[in-house]
Amino acid sequence: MRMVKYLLASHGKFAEGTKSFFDIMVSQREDVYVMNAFLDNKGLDELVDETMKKIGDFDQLIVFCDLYGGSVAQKMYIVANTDKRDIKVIAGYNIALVMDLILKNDVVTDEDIRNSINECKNHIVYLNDIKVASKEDELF
Amino acid sequence: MIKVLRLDERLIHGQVANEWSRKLDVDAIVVANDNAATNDLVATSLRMAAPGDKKVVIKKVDDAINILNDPKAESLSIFVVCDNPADALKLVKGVKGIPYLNVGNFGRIGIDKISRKEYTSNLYASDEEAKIFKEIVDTGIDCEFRTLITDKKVPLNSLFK
Repeated sequence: MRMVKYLLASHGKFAEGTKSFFDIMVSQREDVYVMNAFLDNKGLDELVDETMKKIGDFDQLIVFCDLYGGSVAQKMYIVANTDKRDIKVIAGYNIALVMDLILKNDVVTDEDIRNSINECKNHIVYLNDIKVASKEDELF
Repeated sequence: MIKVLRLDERLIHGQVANEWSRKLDVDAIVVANDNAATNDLVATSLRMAAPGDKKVVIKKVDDAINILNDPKAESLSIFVVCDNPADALKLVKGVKGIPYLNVGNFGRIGIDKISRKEYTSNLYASDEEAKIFKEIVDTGIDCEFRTLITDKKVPLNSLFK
C-alpha cells in the first residue's frame, strides 16, 4: 500500500487541537503531523522546512490548512507547487473533512478531495433550524 | 444479523457514528432506550449524529428486544446500542444472536451524584452497577471493554470478577 501522510497546519494551536480531537474520536496515529505556527518567534519558512523534514518520505501528503488566504495556507500552496511530490493542500478545513479524508487510509485523487469538500461543507449546520420531530421508527 | 451490542452512555455519538458503524459496515443502528424512545428531543438529537446512510431505529428496550428477535432482522446488519448495564443485561438475556457486548463509555454521566469507582479510562461503575456487569459476564456472552475500534480489547471478566 502506498504511504499517505497528513499534516494539520494552523496559526496557533488549532492544528494541535484537531489532532487531540482525532485521538479521542478515532485513534492515535503516527501518520498525522501537526504544525502550529507563530507560537514562538520562529519564522514560518523555517517552521515549514522543519515540519517537512520531520514528515520525511511519502507517496502522498494531504495538508489541511486553517484559513483560506491565511499565511499558513499561502505558504503550503507554494510548497505544494514547488515540491515535485504529490501534495494536496486544502484551506479552511473542518473536522468532518479531516475525518473523511484521513479515514480513507489511502491515496486519494483530486476528484476524491473535491467530493469530500463538497460533502463536508454540509456539516456546518445551524442547529436551531432543525426542528424537534416525532417519528415512528421501523426496522423493517 | 446483529453485529454487536454496544453499551455507551452517549448512545449514538461521534465515536459510534464515525468509527464503529462505518467499520462494521452496518445497515441500521437500533437504539434500545426507554428515554430516547419517548422523548422526541433526545431522539432528534440522536438521529442527527448518525451517518446519512444508516437507518436509525429508536425503541424502548422491550420493543427493541421484540424487533431484534424478528426473523426479518437476519437479513440486516445491525448495530445495537444501549446506555446502561441494566438495559444491556436485559438485551443480552432477551435477544437471540448477539455475538458480543462491547462496552465503550460508561459512568461519567451523573458521577457527581453517584459514587463510582474507575475501572479503566471511560468506564466507571458503582457497586450496584458493577454487580450488574458481573451478571452480564456470568451469562457467558463474549464481552469486552473497548472505546475505539482501534483500542485494545479488555475482557470484561478481567474488570468485574
